[in-house]
Amino acid sequence: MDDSRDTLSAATLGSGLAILAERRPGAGVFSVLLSLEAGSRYDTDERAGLASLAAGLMVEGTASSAGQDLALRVDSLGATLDVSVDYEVCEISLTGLSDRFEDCLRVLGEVVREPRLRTEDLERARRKQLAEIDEDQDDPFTLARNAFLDLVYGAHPRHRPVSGSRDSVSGLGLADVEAFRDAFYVPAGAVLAAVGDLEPQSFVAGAEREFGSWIGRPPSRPRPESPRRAGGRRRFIHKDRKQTHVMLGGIGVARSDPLYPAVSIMDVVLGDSAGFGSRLGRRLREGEGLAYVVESDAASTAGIDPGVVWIYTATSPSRAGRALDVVREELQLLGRRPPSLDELAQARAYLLGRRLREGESCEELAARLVRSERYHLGRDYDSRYADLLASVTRERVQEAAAKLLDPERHACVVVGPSSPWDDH
Amino acid sequence: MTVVSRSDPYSTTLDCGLRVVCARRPGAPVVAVVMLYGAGSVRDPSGLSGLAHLTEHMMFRGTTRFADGAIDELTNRLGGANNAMTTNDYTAYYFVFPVESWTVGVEIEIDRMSNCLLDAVAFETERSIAVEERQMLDDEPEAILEEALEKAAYGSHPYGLPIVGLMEDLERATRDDLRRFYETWYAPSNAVLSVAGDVQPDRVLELAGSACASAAPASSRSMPDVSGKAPGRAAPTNVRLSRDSGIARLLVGFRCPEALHEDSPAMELVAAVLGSGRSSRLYRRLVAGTPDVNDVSVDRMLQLYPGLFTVSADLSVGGDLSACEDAIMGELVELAAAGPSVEEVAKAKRLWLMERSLGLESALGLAGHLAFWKFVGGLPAGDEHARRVLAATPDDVARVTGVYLSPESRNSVWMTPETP
Repeated sequence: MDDSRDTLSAATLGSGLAILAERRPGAGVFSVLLSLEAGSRYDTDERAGLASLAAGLMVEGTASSAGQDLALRVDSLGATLDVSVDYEVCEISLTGLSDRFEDCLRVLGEVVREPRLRTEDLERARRKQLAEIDEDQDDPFTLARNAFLDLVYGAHPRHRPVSGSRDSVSGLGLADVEAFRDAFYVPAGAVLAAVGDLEPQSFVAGAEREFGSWIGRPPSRPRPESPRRAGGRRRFIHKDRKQTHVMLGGIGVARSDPLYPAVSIMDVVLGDSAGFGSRLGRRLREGEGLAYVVESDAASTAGIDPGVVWIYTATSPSRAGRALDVVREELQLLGRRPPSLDELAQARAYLLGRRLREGESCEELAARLVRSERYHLGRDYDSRYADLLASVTRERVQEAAAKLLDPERHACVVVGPSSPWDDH
Repeated sequence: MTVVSRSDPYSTTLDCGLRVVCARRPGAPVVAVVMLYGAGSVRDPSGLSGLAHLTEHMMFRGTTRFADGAIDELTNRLGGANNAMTTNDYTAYYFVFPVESWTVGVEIEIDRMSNCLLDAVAFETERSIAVEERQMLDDEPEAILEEALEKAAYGSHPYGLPIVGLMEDLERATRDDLRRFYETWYAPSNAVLSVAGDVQPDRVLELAGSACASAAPASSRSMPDVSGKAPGRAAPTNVRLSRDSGIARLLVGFRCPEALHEDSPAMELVAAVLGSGRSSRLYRRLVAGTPDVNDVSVDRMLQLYPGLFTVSADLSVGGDLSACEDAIMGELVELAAAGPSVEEVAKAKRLWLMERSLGLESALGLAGHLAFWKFVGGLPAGDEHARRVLAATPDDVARVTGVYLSPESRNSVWMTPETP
């Protein structure tokens, strides 16, 4: 399906670290991704934001390279060292030019094996995180999403913003970060993936060399109770802005849910297709001109726990009520009647094409290797993907919609200058 | 260190004036098709800002061959993606299709070059959508800062007006205005077609040739002369805004040389020395070195006319914007006076090269890159730009910093948090 990709190599170290590498000839760049099962899922309400703070500290220096020394080493290699955290994982990535691949792998090994914990680094990382939290307050989309997750997930750990709150982050100390790292920055459950113009077997050998001495006890990972369905709750947040931002939806499915392929197709039919060819795009934007942005997401957050299904749009305050009505009508319609055969065919084709396009990026391919390992998709997932989509029927998509898109069971958050419910 | 190049792209100009570029990537799974028109917001008529952008929207609303909605539907059906962007200088449209379907992208582009319906109802709907986009930008702090800076830096030149348009201009525009804009600027002689992927140039030329068959000869087209539109220098200003926000923001801008200017390559390295990576001068000085600055970034615009070189910073509440701007100026003065070290320039080149390589990783990135250089001055100009970036010396970096980034020539915008 894609001639530009080549050999795949894999190994699992005795410590539990899974290693995957794929060659992409002529790429010129490479991407290495270390995925640790250390996301905000393992925070507590009192220590919300801890996973994020621990991750931020990973790029502040190592035992043998102070912060600026590490930065200089990475930059001099012509590489970028980034860290990101979401609900499930902390991911450390290195992207660079292919000719310095070995040096970059050495840096990544050092970052993981020899983390440094110093008060001044903690304060800098905390400052940045607090600034992000403040910035989130200025972004209506993020404000809506955080409030939405809180409404939808109740007491489930996913209700918390990944970066925590000002109060919780202000109360975190070095001991908290150290304990979190000791517990969750361990090779068991971690995945190391590399893609680029490299020899996969050499990468595996290099990874064994750099990460062979990295050890740690597998942590206990209690599975949170399944989240309850939202059930019609809504929240209005006053913000003196020109547009009103609307987010509605509910709990979705886990990645292992047999309904997942149907949910992916449902998402494309509803609001996540090329241009504005989805039902919401055609109706809300192209048909009535109510919004510049209208989109849905029912698949991207599906993970070890159920993800979320949301529909988002932003419109003039006077048109927010109408926009909500249109969205609800479309949600109900898809739950009541299956999509047409033509819609189904278009959605399948779109998803297959999207997978091809995303496969142009070493970074995305490395992330794909990680997901295949983390969610036990199998290393032949790419070759099975078309058959998987072909097996989804119209009725199965309707079943997914009936289960996930019932507006009566959805939560709704509105951020803007006035509430659409005052006169609605 | 060399510029990564998998193979030399094919390039030609057809009789009708359409410039065509084709870059082969054997084995690549997708093909990107980019059609770029010299029809950016710089071409907006006086009092009709946003018209180029509105025209971009209308290009998806149906042609004599593809009904309204059919372009998106066909894109989905064939597993593709599409979108468009309007910049100051140009408007570019793209499709990315699996390799077996790419010709459809060229067919759509050729068709909508001259056969758009520009339907009245669709026009009103798109105006309404553009109004929403205008309001969206009015709510975004970064967009507010950028628009304020561009207005200060360019004054009455079209670069000083928002690409999306002013609200009063959006409300004023008529379908006839849009039709005139479309008929004036959407022509083969004002366009570049760029295709990248596992394709044969002959096939691209065969398809592109149909654009010439239906087009008026390039010589008979009358396009307004815009050669006098290069912006003059604006007086230094400091614009102060406020917002109910938890952070303070700063944006400083300088006029930097246009894409084809001989100093343009060295400016790329100035940007990298100042702002690429955590070891860059501004990151070290402001983020690692002070308690108030949380983020700093540097950007430069490659354009037909002099673009902006910008430095932006985010500060905590109570952070001193004046001190931050002084510190930025201090670094610029120091860089101009003492110059960077050899190691610093070597590092900057590697970071620039990596950013460039990542930009060219996808077929779309490659097709867009080639279309841009073909548009501003030809593919050799793009190669020459890259060669000169990698050949620049510390002295070059110091010199252009002094010429273009002097404190006296800056415009800045501050956004302070409102006190409740």
